[in-house]
Amino acid sequence: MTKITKRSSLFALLVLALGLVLSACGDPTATPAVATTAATSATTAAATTAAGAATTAAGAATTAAAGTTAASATTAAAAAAGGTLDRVVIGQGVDPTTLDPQNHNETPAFNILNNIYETLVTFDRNGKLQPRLAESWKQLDDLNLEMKLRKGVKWHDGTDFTADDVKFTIDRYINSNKEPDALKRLKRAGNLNFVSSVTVTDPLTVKITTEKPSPLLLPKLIAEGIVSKKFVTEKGEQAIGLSAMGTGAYKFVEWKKDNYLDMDANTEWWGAPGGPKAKKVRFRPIPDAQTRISALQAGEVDIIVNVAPEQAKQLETGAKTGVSSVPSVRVIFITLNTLDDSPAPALKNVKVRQALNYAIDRDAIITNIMLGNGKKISSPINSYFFAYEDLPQYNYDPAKAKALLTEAGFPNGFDLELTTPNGRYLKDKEIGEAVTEYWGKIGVKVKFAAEPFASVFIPKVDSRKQTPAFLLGWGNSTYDPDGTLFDQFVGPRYSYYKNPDFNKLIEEARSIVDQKKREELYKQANKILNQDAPWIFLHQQNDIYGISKRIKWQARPDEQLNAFEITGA
Amino acid sequence: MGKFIVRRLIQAIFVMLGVSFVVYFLLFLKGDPVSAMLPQEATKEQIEKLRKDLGFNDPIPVQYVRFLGKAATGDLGVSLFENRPATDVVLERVPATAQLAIAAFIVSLLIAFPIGIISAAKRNSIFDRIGMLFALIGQSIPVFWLGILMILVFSVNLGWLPTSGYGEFNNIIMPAVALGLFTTARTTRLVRSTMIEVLSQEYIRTARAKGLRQLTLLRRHALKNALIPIVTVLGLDFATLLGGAVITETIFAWPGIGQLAIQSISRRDYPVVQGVVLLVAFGYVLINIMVDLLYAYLNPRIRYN
Repeated sequence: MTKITKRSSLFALLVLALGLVLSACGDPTATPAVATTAATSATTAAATTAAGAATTAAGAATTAAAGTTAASATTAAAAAAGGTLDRVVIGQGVDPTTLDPQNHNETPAFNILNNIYETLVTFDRNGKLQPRLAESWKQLDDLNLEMKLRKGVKWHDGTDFTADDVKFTIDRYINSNKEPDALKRLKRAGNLNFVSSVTVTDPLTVKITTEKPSPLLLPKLIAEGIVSKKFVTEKGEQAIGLSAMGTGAYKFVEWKKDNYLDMDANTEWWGAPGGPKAKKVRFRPIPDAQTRISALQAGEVDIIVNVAPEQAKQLETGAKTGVSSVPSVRVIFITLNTLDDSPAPALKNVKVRQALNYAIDRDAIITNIMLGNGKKISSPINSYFFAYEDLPQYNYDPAKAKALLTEAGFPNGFDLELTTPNGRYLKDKEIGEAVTEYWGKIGVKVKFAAEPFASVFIPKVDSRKQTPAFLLGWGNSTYDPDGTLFDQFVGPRYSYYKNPDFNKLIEEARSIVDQKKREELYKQANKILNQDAPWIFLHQQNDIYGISKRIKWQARPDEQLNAFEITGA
Repeated sequence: MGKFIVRRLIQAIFVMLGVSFVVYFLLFLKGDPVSAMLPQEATKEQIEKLRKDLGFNDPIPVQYVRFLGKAATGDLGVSLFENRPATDVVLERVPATAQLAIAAFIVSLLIAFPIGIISAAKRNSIFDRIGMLFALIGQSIPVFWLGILMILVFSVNLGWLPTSGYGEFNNIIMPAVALGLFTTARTTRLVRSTMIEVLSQEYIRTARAKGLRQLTLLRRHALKNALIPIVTVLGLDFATLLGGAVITETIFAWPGIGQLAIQSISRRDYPVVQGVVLLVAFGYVLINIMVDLLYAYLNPRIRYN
């Protein structure tokens, strides 16, 4: 009898455990849930707002028509023409760690929040600066930038957007930069560490003052979402990390961390009459690349990120799936250590560096390894950038490479160590193997290694103990050459190149606000790099997205995933 | 009994100390995480300053003792990536992992016991051969491959189940089966072999001679006596499952501590990595003690004095 009781109690335990699992699965509070705070006053004075929206739309149309680029007008027209969608699901690799637009350095977080919060200015697909919450701006003098804000913009809670909110947002950074404990600072505060104050001139005008002439202020503002003074002061710093309330195309609904984030179309959005075309949008983190593909094929998601070239083929032939691909702003290159104490002294000779460039068949690499998903570069600055110029390419010419090497005094080549990350950039290891082959053909004996990016490769780069030649990618979405040319060749962290003439150009260009003059300086600097070849110029890699055929969306070079640019097919 | 538990708990403290030592120093071999915490354009001075602020310039033994002192009070430091207590970051992932572990464990029990027992009872029959072939296949299939295959069949082709995600009953079926099948194979073989051993004992022959029904014989006399080695292995299996199925959680986008471990390693978020490892070690130790206690329940002859 006792035995039976024991046995049945074991069985009961098992059933209980099963029940526990089932109930926990269905329990919506199993993960920290964030209830909606934004779904308020959706119907405030419908007539007035509609009229306001119409005016704004007309204004926007004028801007588009007057705009210098025909493409932006076309995009706007296409967006207006597309059909509406009830629901769109977007699959990214990881979830944000916070929803505070000022406290993260994460692309996936930015992609989500850029639909809810809006920035003062933005870039169109061609890298041209466009108005967003700021309608116009003027450089008053070397240190002061005045911005006129858009009229009639409302926060999702129904209050008016004003210059106070802009001041509040940037003041959060200014105060944060004074915080002595580095870990307590807002994660983005460093981006605007050159701003000294913000002055509200009138409810729709602000003046931003910088410590020194700062040409990078506008390009940096494209990434800074403006938060509501009222929301943050009333709800507190904690709340803004867990929910969101902006002026943007979408209203925050709910965030279940590491599971999904839901948002609803803002029908009163100034950017489009009636709001964006996709009415309900969900962002989901799906870490595994193959699972993302399957989720797209199964129709669970409509857009997925980071599709590998061979997977792209699979999606292109699918009945319900397609791809959208675009050369990204990220350039892939091999840094050569040209310094006096270089572990490979041959690299100090410019002819050797040119020879190493000529020795590589980049067309073959792009066709066979990247499966077409790349575009050759001839300098660190690609076509999206301010001050871009089409400079001569180092096209494949092994005979010329061999001749240059002989001229430089290395007829029999030399030994060289090359490292790439393993899996950080599209086909990085395979590219390294191909380069090893090509260099071997002109007599350069390469010792090649591919290393895990986060744990081995980057610590070596950071400590400047990396091999004399290593492959790196650099994405600079300010579209301003400073973030590439200064950081890679002048700043202390990455530069393995010393050229006083070049440094002078870069230092001057970052200390003046006259854009015409800056353009000239960068063009000169870029020509020097093209000739001097401190890099092996490889390519811009394509960003490949998988998309469902039921939606229409075009991939952007800056990795932004704006739900308000999605329409029905 | 009480003395036994106290002794095991003291042992557990030493095990935990050992684990903390290993995880702390292994992570330090990889260099400090400061450069990963700042944007790529940060200057050397900024990196140096942050390193000083965080105390990474102190000798490593000093840092370790400081870490231990805090860890003893449950404070594992602040997540370098999320700016909040690492303990919170780890603990909020535990429910998902526990659900998956329990579900996978149940899947494994429901399959392993019937097949193992019948295979043992009808040794060398066709059923036995099929059962053991199944066990061999289950043991040999890598979890990631099975997971991807299941997604292709049940989500992409048939459209019965969602590919991934968390929160609804549909979401747990595939990860639980994929994860459970792996331990099922081993458990099935173990159940079969221990049952065969027990069935060859003389008291079974006696019981059979008494005219007991086969089912009663198997349940009451054979299985109960076969359970001890099985429970040991099951306990360890369950501890492993609780340790977070890194691959399964990643494939099925299941937000548990296995997925967190991977993400934190690639972000060099050391406090979180340490938290996950310590928690998993703690779970292991705890389950081991519970298994020991379960022996006494299963076999009253075992006493802990």
